[in-house]
Amino acid sequence: MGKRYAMVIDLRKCVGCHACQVACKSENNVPLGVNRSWVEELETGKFPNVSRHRLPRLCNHCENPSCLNVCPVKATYQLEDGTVLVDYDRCIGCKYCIAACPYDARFINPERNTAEKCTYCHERVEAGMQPACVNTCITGARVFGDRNDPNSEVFKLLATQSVAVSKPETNNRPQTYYIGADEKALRPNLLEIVGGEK
Amino acid sequence: MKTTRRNFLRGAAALGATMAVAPLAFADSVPKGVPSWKQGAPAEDTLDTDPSVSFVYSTCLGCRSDCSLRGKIKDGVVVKLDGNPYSPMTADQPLPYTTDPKEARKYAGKLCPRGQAGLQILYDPLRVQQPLKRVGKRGENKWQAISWDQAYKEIIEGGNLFGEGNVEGLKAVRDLTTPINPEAPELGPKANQFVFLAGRIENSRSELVKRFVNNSYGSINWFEHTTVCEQSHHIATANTFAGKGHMKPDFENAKYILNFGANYGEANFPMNGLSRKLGNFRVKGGRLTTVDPRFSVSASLSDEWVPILPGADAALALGIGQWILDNKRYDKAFLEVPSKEAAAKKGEASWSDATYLVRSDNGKYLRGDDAGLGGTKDDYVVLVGGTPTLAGKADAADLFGEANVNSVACKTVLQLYAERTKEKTLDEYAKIGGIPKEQIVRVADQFSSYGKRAVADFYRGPVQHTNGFQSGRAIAILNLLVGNVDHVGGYQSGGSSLSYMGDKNGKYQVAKLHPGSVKMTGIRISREKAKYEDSTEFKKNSYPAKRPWFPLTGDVYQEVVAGVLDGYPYPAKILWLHMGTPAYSIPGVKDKVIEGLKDTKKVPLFIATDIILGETSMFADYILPDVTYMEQWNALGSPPTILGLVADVRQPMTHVFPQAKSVENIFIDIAKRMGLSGFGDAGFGPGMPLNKEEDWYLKLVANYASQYGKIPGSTEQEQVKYILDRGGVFDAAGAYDGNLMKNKVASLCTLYAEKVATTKDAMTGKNFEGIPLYKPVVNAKEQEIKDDGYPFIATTYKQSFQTQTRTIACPWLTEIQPENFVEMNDEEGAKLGLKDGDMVKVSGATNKNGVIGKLRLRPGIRPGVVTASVGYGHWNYGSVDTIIDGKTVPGDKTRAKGVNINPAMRMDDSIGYVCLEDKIGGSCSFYDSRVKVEKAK
Repeated sequence: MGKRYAMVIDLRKCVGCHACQVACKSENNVPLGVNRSWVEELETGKFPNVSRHRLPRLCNHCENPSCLNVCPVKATYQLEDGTVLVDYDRCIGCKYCIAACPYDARFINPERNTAEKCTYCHERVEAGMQPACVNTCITGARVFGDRNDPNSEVFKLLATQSVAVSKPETNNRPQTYYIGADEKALRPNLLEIVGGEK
Repeated sequence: MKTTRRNFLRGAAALGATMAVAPLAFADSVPKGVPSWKQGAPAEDTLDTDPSVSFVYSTCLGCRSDCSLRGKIKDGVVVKLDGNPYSPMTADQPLPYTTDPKEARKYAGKLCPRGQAGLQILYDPLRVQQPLKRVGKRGENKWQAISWDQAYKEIIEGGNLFGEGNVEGLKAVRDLTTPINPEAPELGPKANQFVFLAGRIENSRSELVKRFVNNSYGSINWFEHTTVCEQSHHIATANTFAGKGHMKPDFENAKYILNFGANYGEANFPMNGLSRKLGNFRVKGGRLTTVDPRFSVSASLSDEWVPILPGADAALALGIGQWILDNKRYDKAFLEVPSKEAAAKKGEASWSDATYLVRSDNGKYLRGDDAGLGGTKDDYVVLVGGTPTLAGKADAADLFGEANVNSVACKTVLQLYAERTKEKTLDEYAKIGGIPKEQIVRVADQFSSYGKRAVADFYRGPVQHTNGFQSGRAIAILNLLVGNVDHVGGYQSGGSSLSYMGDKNGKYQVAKLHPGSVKMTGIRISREKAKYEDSTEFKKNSYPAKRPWFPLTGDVYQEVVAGVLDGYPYPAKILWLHMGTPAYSIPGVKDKVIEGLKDTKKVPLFIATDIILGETSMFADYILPDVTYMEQWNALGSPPTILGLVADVRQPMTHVFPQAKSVENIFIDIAKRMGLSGFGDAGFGPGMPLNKEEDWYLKLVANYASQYGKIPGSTEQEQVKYILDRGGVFDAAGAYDGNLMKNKVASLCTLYAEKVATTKDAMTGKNFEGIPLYKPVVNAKEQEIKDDGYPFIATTYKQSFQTQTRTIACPWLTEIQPENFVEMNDEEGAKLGLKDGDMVKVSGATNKNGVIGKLRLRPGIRPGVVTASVGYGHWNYGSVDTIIDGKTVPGDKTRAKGVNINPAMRMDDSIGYVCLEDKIGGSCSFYDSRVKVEKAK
């Protein structure tokens, strides 16, 4: 089987520190106000029975990405390893892909006026390094690798842990797998307990 | 605005036109435009493996943790910060220390958001870029840019500097012979009227400045900030674990951790490494209980949350102790061992005083020469089957019991502790803590179910209280009850470091290399490390003293400020504030501190070293531009969470503003101009100059090499380079020694604090308590503070993406959360008719005007408590317009968002100028103030 990149996020370890978000900004020069990678949080329950859910987010590099076919100029494309990328020279900024993505993973880069999202730090991965968010994740909650390689940490986690994905009903087949996720938290764009607008 | 690569650099370039002085050093190297995407290579930053980028290994200071750092530099611009892959601070599996740095490019260590965003502190266009001298009154925020030469001349020589009359400079104040007060010569010479107060000052930087202040200038008044942090934690820990001020669970092997108010995953340092170890601990099945009135990150990752009322930690800990004793769940074998030799026979490195007899008449341990047992004053006395025996002669002794020895009534320490825990019932402890009795029992049961692999840990939460020291001790002692000290999976003193000062066997014993060193004398303006009973004031007035004295602690930040403003025990003439902001940090006294600092009679000369116009430095006469941590040197160790050897180096990655100068170089310059000892061409001795900071730091790094002994290279220069190329000396191996930790306390650990029990409170004349106790909130005069009509207790906490003040300059962090909130329990808020997002006023008995913030209602706050995270609510730090040389530098108003609730906290109006405080550990009370919350009009 060929290479297929995926990310596993172990929420038992995540402390919701946002290091992934800032590392992505720094590595990829993402402008203020938009994010390729971010963390959502939700606090639920009634005192003293309270729980806190965290959901680090990024483009899910879906098997069946709904952003791909809506692009009128074929700016969005998918590599054989599953990475979904945007050709910024072709993109006309029509936002069809943004509307099509069920995960709100895309945005218009205000500096460039083209659609943009997580690239799995493609250039780093090609050079044998980890995506910046994975590299910096202080608890090691984010794990990236080849889902089809039995020696990869991603393969091992998928083989041994119970995982969940966000919105499986879309048939997008997202490739971000969460360990220990709460059903309530798997819906993107939650009321955020920490930061941001509701 | 033209598109540039980094938004913070864009801001910098725009501001360059308006800054009065110093063209922006990096303006030429700002890369132009977003690199366009190319097919197959959507690269946006040059890769770490690209030969055109270089790396500088250094140490972070995005928070207090000192994580090992690596800066990536392209065309002279630091473009990315990462963790150091060689260091156990920033990697679980660090690279072997011998790895070639070229190979290390492919790897990076881990770094939290504060660390990542450090670039925006470095390139903050609102940094102070030139020495500034005030124009107009203090605090008007009007300045003139001056040269270093002028700044030095005026600070040293004094004169009519502001057209307000003569001001004494450093030279005039440096009188080493005339007493400040001839009637109280113990206060020391006039030179003590120069007071140096730091907020954060890092190891090795502090030694250089101490060299100047204490041993060259000759003032005893050098301080840092620890009581505004968690000093009572250190003092409580040191009084339990034989002087070790900081212990941590062995996260790798512990099975159960009972966390009292340590902010794991957010701030408790090292936040990065500790979070990683916590994650591993949880995935391996470790159980965690968190005691905190806020549903913290630690609580959210816990098996059980104990939402205790602030200040009740001692009640909970004593309740747990009572249950453990009643149910015989303590480690009898450990506790009954009375000596090192007896401990060794049982495989223990440390032992306790549980069996030692304490005299009821004077609070001292009964000694061998008191008891008629033929022992000496160094022998402790125990009971064996009820018979007094020298501790050294018994393998095991009675845990409980009392005896009359030479007609002195004595009890064993564990007897005293047991009696203390029984002074209240579990129901009473539960009521104090606002938690069910069943929860106390459950936690006690859990804690005592894992043998030596259960740990009771704590940090700031339980100790920033008027009863902080005792609460900390009550918690620390739980570890002795289960006998976990020094054990794998127990409470342990952490990894090792190398002495950068070369104290033991370093090549350069730097402190001793000080020809002409001055001996400082006198009483510190904070009255710390000194006894009131030795003062002239005591002989005249007896008790109470005018203000508390602090014989059992040091670095009592709030009392340095109070001492200066109250002129007690003597007036100050020069205050030098370094990287500190007492008006922002100290609870309850913002207005008092500002009013006092503006008063040129109370503070005739006020100098600040800062990277920015801070909340307090803005009231100074002179602001001297310091460099950021990415532009400076340091040599540092690591906190005890990290095992193995860590000897970090901080070294400059760049130097952004040419006129900014490290505080080291500033003091070197001043010492040379004043002709003081220990600096200059023969600063360390003949032929050994101390003319610049590198003369200091390269010796410190050489000390690492000489002590570690395994650094390749035939010359000192080669060895130093080898260390600098890796950012320090690291060796993750060798943390364990069989069932014990390799680094051990290996000493007498004490349930009874003899030194505390035999020391008097200067405000009452009564002895402090040697066995911890629960006490309600009191002021310095021991009057209980009730503040009826103020139904909430105010607390604060730190989030993972802000630190004390400096991170507010980082847009990457402020966009995560642009403002903080006044957080309150949702059901309680609804009962009060308050809605999420309402603007509310938080006020207290000594600050009726209060502070205003936005309300956030959430289930994860204990009813009766309000909290707000720190780092917001700035009134300067670049948030307001500044006038320099008559031109306006516009402020960045986003930095003023949110609320700082410290000013709404309670002042101790029985003595003035300070918050409520812990007279033993010295800590500021952050979590005792009662407030009311109402809709803002």
